[in-house]
Amino acid sequence: MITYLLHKNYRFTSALRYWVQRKFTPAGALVIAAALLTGGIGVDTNEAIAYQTFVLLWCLLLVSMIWSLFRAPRFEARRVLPKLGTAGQPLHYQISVINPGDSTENSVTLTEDFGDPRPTYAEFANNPEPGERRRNPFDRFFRFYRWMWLMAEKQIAVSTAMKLPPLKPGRAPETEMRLQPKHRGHLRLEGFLFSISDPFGLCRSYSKCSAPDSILILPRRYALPAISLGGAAQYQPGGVTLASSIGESEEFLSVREYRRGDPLRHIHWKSTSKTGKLIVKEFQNEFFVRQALILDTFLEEASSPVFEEAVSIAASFALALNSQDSLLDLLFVGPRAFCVTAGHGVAQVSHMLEILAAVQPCTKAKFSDLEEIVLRQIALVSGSVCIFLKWDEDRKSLVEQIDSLGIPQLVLILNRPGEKNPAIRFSPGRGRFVRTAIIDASKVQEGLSKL
Amino acid sequence: MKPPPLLMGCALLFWGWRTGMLWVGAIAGSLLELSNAVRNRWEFTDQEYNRLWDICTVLFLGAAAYLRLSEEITSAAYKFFQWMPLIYYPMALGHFFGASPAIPLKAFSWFLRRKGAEGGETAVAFGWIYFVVCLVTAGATNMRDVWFFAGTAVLTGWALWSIRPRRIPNWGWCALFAAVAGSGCYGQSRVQDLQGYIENKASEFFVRFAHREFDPGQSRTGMGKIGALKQSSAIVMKLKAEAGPIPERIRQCTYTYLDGTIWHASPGRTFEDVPIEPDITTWTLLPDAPHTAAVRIIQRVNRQSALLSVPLGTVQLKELNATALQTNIFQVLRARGNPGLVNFIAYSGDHSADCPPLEQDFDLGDEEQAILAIAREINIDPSASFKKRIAAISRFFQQNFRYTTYQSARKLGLLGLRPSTPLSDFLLKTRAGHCEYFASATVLLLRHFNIAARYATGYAVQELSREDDTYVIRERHGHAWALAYVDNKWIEVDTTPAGWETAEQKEFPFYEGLKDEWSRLAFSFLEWRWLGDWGFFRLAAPWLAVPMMLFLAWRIFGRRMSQQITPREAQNWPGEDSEFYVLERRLAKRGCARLNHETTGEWLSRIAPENPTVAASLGAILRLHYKYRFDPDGIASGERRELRELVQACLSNEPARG
Repeated sequence: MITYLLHKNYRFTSALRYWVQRKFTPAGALVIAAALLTGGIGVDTNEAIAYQTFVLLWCLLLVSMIWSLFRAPRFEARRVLPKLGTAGQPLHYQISVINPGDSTENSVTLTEDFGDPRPTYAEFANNPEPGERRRNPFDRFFRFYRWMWLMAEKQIAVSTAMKLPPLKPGRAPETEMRLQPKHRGHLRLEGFLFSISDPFGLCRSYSKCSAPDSILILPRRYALPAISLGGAAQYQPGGVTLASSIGESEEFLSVREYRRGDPLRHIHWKSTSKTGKLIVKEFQNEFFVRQALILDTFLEEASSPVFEEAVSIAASFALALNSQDSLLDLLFVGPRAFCVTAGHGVAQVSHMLEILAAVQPCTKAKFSDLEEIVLRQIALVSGSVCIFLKWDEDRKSLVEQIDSLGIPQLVLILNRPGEKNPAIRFSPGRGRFVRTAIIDASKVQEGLSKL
Repeated sequence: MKPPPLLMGCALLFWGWRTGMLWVGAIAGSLLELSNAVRNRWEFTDQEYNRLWDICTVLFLGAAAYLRLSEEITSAAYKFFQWMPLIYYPMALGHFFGASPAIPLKAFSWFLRRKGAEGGETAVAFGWIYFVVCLVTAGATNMRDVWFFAGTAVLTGWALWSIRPRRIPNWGWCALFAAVAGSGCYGQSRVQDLQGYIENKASEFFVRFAHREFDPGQSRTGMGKIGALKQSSAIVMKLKAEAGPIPERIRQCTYTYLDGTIWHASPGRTFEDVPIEPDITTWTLLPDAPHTAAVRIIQRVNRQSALLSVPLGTVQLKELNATALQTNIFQVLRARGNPGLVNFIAYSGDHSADCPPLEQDFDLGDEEQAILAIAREINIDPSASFKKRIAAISRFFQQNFRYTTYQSARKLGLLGLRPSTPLSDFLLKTRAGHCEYFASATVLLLRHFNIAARYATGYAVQELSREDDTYVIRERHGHAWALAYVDNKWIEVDTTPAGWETAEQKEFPFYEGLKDEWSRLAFSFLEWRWLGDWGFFRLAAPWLAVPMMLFLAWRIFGRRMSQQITPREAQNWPGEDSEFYVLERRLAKRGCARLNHETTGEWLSRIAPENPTVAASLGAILRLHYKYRFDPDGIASGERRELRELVQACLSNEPARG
């Protein structure tokens, strides 16, 4: 019951705040503040004449509010969105606005409509904010920070209002719009809000234009120093399907006798004529530098800033490790265990980033699921990067098992701000090919720069 | 983001004109407008904006403290608003002369300045906020003429014109604004009528809140209130006997008619001027009347108009600095045009200037039944003299009633189906109450026994200051008593049981002493402010010394401790204090300075043949210096010591030359 009432209350106050922010311009907000202040100063009309300013300001506000009751003129608009955006980096795109009216419209402002970001009752009741247990009893009871966090989670991007040039009838001039993605995920755009303000510039009236669209916002990425894992291309055959060209490598190795099935164009005619037997050219089998990027998604909470940082680091490594001559396997557990391979003509790294944009914390599966897929795949790779959300026996066991195969590893452990760094100790004789780094989740770039 | 040219200057000029600081406004406005004339701008950093706002905050707190101590609360509040443009002027200067069109929001909030706080970068158009502050605070005065509204309307219109959307033609905009300004002009002329209506309908609490001093027209008593009466320890005045004894009570108002729980003084609403003597500080209430006592009164008052508290029978006031003194038929004194603290001598005699008894002075109001019951209980001989009747009434209250500042709803009978009046409950049921009960009942009983009586309010004189032999009157010393007309003169009849002061003191919280001391400090500040009495600083010294010593201790020891804990953080960059630089300077003096294009390693390789003694340890020094300078993990304490010792060894082997 309390949760229900709190949810209703927060919904109402959020709606009120949204209405006030939409309804009043900054000048209008200033006039309201001034009117309240003059009301306080001039409360005793016998002592001060501030009440005269009070009356004038409220008259202005009253006229402005009445004026703003009339709807803004209707417009049509469409946008040309890029396929992808990146969290933290401004996204520029073009929009064209059509004025279906008969007269030129001046001083029209355009805003993106992202829809209602308020969480539903179920979301509010069932999704505790990361670190909520550490809050004081008052905050835990009223759950205001939970509401604010859920609102922020749903607001993937912010957009500032843009003043449009004079809109002539029927014309559709293209204008550049700017969005600021805040975090990764699918950004849904509902439409546009066109606003005009009253003659005094205090209140706004709106008209809405529906233009649903969506864009994938990729994870934020960090600059990485040159990473050398120490592994080499050795017995990691990619197989035909992973080769950049159909067939075998063009690198000549030796000649041998013909076997059934060898292509005729590989027959070495000179040797055949000398020996009297069919001799064919043998080519070097194609090997790849193949690296694994292991992402720890196991979290007790529905979301966490530490997890977001881990995804960002994984995205950064995906870009840094990928090249035309190597393969990269991304291993993580979502609804099930995933192994995504990119590079060397198999898939673009952007494909991997798209997957990382949608990856969610795993609260139900076990760490052994990740261990299983990693150990199945690890024999193929020459090096691995592990990004862990914490350090415990399960993770230590996985690292030691990979190490026993002689595969060099870079292990990054993300630590929550203010928490004590975990002590990393391996079993005797293990950890020879392991390089570890503990990164403070609030200073990720700083931590990565030290690698 | 900044107001258009000249608007800010005009707003400050307008503010200065309305608040009586025309020259200040003119200079301040001109200085800000100078920013439009010069092209050079300061590149303020966020830190510098923070410092500017901190200065404004200090000015804000200083002005608030100064005005709170030096002025009566209402005038202090208005004066504070008037000073606001000056308080925020440093920030305005920074904004108008700064290169940035806006100031980050975090400059205005220590909360947002915290590391990791969100929203601090929001741009704030401080110029417009400052314009509004000037416009609004220009109205915190009481100079009434048509020019205030006209000026406000013009400045507001100018500001709105500069930001208007170009959707309607200019003439249409002007017409609309003129219509709004006209409506505002009419509306403001009716606001005072509206306030009068609201005040009449306002609750008792609101009225009491708005008028902290006694109202000469009526007195809302605390009779019938539930719970404990809240009383303040703020000092209202000080008294010192100049001649004769100190009065036990000093009166401020007198009332004649009880209606429910409110005493009225309808005939006392008319005030007349008291004639002033040629020395312009002496005011005579009763010419040629002899006086037997004189008391010096230092009273905290409203600067515009205030009721003075004087002993009964006051015939003359001397040394009173006021532009006018008025009185009514009950000798209630109202001074106008005062300083914040009045200091005068009241001369009093046996005969007061109070008018003889009126018809209302015998009225029993709605309490006749209760009074009759009590009168039967007292059972006074009808032939007894007035003085004996008064003595019998006083004796009756002393023997049968007790003093309390707490009333419960059940005992007062307010929970019953037919609630009676608080006074009748006091007389017939509870027989316990505070001074207003006793005074009201006494007045009605005296009237029942054919003695003209009135209800007087003021203060009891009971707290003698140990230091300067003066009596201190606090707000909690507020008192009520009866006046009886006996032998052609008014005498005071106080039937409140003796020891009521002690009864009140028992209910004081443990920190009451601290509040009393603070009140003494505040009053002594007023004495210094208005009378030039430097005793304030003697009293303030202990209050100021403790925080200052704590501050000094924090500055000295806090910094030292922080240096010990994080020596690396105190540096501008890692390795700033490396001894390698000493060695470098020494070698430079010897003519082996490092060239601009050379790395440190190249330089040391070049000079090594010329400095064989240094060259031996140069490699180790350079390795340790680089580690100290560039290693993210820092340098171990042992290595740091090694670096220091190696450099010292080099320096001692190569004495400085030149």
